[in-house]
Amino acid sequence: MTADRARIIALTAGELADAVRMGTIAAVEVARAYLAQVEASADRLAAYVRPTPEVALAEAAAVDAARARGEPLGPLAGVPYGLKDSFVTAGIATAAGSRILAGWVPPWDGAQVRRMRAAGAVLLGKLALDEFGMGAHGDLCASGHVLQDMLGRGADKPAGGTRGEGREGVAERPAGHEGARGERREDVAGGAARDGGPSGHVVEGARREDVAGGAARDGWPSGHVFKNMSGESSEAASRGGSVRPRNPWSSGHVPGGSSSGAGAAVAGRAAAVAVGSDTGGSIRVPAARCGLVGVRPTWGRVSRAGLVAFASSLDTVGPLARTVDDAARVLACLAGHDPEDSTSLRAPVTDYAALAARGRTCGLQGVTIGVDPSDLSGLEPAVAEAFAAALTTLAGAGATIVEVALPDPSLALTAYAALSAVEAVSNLARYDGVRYGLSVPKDSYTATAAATRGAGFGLEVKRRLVLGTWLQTQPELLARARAARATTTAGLQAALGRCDALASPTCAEAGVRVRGDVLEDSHGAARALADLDVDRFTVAASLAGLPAVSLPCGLTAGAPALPIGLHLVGRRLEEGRLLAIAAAFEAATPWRARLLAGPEGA
Amino acid sequence: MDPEAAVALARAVLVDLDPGEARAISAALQPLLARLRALPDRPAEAAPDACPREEQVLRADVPGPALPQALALAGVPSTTPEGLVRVGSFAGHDVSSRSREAGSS
Repeated sequence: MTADRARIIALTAGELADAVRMGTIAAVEVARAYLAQVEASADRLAAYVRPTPEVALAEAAAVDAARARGEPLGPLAGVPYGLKDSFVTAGIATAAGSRILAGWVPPWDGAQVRRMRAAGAVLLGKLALDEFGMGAHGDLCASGHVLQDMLGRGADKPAGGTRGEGREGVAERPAGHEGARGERREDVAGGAARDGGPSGHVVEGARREDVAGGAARDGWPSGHVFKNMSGESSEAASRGGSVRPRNPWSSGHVPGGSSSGAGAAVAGRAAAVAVGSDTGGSIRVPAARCGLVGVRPTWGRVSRAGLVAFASSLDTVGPLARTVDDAARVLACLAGHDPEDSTSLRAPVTDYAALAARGRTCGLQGVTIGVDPSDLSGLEPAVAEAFAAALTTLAGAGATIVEVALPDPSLALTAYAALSAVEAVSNLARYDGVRYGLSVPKDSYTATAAATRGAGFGLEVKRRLVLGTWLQTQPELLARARAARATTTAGLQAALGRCDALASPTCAEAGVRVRGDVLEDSHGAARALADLDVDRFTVAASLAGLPAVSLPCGLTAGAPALPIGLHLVGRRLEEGRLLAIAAAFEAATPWRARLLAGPEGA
Repeated sequence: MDPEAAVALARAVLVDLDPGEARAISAALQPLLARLRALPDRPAEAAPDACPREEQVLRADVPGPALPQALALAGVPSTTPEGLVRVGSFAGHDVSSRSREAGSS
């Protein structure tokens, strides 16, 4: 790496924008440095599914030209960013991590990319994600390969008669990028050290039974307790071909999902910031796993026009960044009413960066933080220690810590699983092999749609579609799920009536080991529940539509050092206050400097 | 939910499942369904939108809203030229007429 590139990627987004605005560095120079970084880190991170170097250089040149003409520059002038591949981009293929959208090139830009461009940001490329945002780890980013992984098949075996015929009849393949990136993907999966077992949560027989049976866990997916969790080599690793972003802090651990590419890219210095989406925790979990700041805004605060929908009453759009200030700057550009999204809010957007700066300098005097002690059982010891230290830091900065009683998180998790699945059935009905992407032609519309959807959706998506379809025949259970959501919402609102924010860890475990195949159905069942439970601390805010942020609060002591996230939930439309609290915490901890140095900065 | 039920439910929303997928989905859903059934049976007023609704009949032969083709595609900004060609390959009797008839029944 050249000294110039190292110097550029060490700057925060705010520093980059200031430098471009002052003319001390050209936007094109910044873009070239980051594009070199994207290329150099591609094998290691696998964060991008579609780099867009031509777009990046053109947008950067436009920023430089505007400056040369004396025009005012946007708040993110020259800041290189990555965009989750669930946001549509005109002329750039958008697949949302799914085979069913392979080759689809949207004819229009979503609100997110338009707002980032208007702010002067420079698009480096599209980032990997779990299929349609349905994943907690970032390991469901490819379709066919993952499906075979989950079924324990060899990659060269047909997946069944209908599907085999379907593959032969695929009308559209990924245009250009798939072939070009295919070799690289094989290198990524085949060349990396995959020391994880069949599942990041359950590795050996006895322990699988523990998890499946719901018994108390005596080990953690991060591997900090069990040093030799598995000696099995992953067949999937040797097969290669799937897109699974890596955690820059540890190639043996997942980056978190579903905005997995976003987490990997920003933490790995392959983007200054990223734009992701969060349904049940898809910004906050990867932010926690990768040592970043991730913001889920109030539902409706940021337009979803152009977001490939998963569960519309839960989907939100927000930033992943290295610092609270960077996250605040990006959120300020994304937020605001959009007539193209009927759910977007008309409330004025506050100056989030200014509020964060005030929090950084003024501390937390007069701020009350609520914590539910009963909610903290079953934490990995490293997480428990980091969270306790975080509370001490918050109190040291002037905050008052009070105990609150929150609704049972299992209620929220179950309600989330049910309601998101039902909404997914509706949102994914449009992928029928006619209008978008993959098509498996048959002699009728019905047969074409069924074959296309059978071949195009991954197993996790199908699982949720089956669940959602079944629930539509169970109005009593759906009513219970909606009631559980209402209970969760009321509980959070009541707690926030007497405090400014609620604090918890973002995740109960410090990390999840990279998984290989799931070998048996019973283990798949345990995995489905374990994956759902990753969102234990994040789904309540999602159900309630409240803003939340995850920010780093420490690293595990063992090797590899893994970041741990602090989760803060705020009142509706009080993202500014939440970011002020986060900035005050960030300024009071030693972790900002360590995490700013990045995974290789130890 | 047994694998056969998973296949039938998937079929209702036009998704082909092979036996291995059906078995995996069936197994993966068991613990979640148990959690769902264990949700507290709260009064409907606990959730403003929690009133039980009339059961929706799922029909495998109706892929979506039973709209005429032109109306269904009008205003869909992301319909591509290729998509329109594909639509054209399904004659009106396949998409529009059957869907309309089914929808009006």
